[in-house]
Amino acid sequence: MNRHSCLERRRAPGLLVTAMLLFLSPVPALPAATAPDDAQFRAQYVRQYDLIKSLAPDMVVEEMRLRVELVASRGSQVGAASNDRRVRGFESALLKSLQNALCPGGKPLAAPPARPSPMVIDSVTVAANAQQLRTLGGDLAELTALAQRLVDSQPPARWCALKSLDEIR
Amino acid sequence: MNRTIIACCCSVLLLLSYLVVGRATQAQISSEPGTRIWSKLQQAQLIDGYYPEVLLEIAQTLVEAAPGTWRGVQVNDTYRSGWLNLYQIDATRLRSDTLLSAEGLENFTPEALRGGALAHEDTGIVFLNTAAWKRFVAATVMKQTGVQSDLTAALAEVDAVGLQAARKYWDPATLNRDTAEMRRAGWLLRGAAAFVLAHEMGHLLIGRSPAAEADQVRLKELTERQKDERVACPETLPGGFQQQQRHEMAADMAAVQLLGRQCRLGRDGELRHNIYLLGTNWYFLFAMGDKLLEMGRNTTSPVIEKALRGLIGSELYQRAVADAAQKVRRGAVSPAFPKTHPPDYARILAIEQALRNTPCGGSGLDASGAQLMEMFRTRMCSSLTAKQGLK
Repeated sequence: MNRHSCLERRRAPGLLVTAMLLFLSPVPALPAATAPDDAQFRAQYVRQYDLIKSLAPDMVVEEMRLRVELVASRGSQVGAASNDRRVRGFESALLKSLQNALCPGGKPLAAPPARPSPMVIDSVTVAANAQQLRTLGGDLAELTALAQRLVDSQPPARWCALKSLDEIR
Repeated sequence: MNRTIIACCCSVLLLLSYLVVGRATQAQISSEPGTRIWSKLQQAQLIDGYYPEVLLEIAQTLVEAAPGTWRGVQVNDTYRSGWLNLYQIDATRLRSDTLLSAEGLENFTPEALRGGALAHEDTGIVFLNTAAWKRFVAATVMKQTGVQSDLTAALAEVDAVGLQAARKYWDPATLNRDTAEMRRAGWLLRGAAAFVLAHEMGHLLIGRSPAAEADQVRLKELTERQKDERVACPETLPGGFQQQQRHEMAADMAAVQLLGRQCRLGRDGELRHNIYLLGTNWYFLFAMGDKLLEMGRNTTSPVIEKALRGLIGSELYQRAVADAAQKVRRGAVSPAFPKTHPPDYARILAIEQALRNTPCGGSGLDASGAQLMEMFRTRMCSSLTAKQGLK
């Protein structure tokens, strides 16, 4: 009885210590998902979407790569750096997240989501977090517009079958 | 039973208070981002002292050119607020892109450090990548000792064999030999280090770039080749990158203010000024050579292949370029004209022009290689903008 109660009491402080450690550990700040009804976000999203809506889909991919690279290349180095690895990482994470959201069970969603779709916003946020990209100002709204335009440019079944954004034409 | 419970509780309380006090002390010590960065660099075992005494000496001469800006200079030591803090790190040991994200350095990646240095304006830290420097040193020594007749070929050889196999060309045992070749290599490298450090100190002086202006998307359809070409042309480069290029140019101009006063500092000022100019020139030759190799790795152009084979030889071309080519070759223009920095030709001309207006003056920077690239770029951009109906 004594041994048992002491073990129980030992287990509880262990949990408490773990909780305390977790509480005290610094958590890196990540960009939070922005609500689609935020007026500034929406204005930036609409402006960007209008700018790109006449572009060919492969040019939208190109614009997205440049936009991600702009975020990734913020800094002060003497010579230029290639951010291709992080741009590609963002792309893969975005495609995977969008397909998970828009193609449950590998099949396209029956009803088209609202624009800007919260799923697209979340997917952009997930992809940015995956590459530890610090999105500032209009980054998230503009990347969401580019991602939303890509989704809109492809038939749903085609979108669900994409292996890479390179396949978008 | 009561004594056991009390003992258990006391142990837990002691442990908790130890943890809390320890954490609080640590938080107090690490409250400054610079201190946290220094601590993280040590924990990740990234610090790699490579001629720190030479770096300190160069940095002190540059700090002297901006009196009242920094309280002092330190290399690979405890972070000091208000000082110029220099950390030599080996970027090949970096295992995570996010090591310094919490301190506001999202681009602390091997790629960003490939050019040799990176500045953090918020803390006044300059990181110098020793892996990039050793590559540069090895290629310089190969060129100066006649192992390779050209700096680009020497860089290709280091890339082909790897940095460790090329050790004898960057090892202090070789560099410290008192020979004419090593003395000349020393001047070139010392001068190049001065330019790189001055550029990064320039970033610290001018501060962070203002918010980038909005992108203007105007190009509706482009071929794969034109997608590569557009980044070299100001008319078609997104506004955010144009802003970055202006900021990098401003850092060069701030660097010129530090370099252009050296002749007035100390008895050996005139000699030092000449060495720093010689090294600035050498750095741009290195940057051009590096770009040529990257162009070869990113293109299937037979013209570029032929030119590179002629420059570095077919055997080295195979080992350093063809065998190291990118899986997806997106074109040679992006590596030649990076989006974030002005073209080398524009940088060299602007630096030379600005140096003329400093107390020490300056001329003789070699822009001939960059000039050929600039002619190619201008022609390409005219054609691209004409096709897109842009002026």
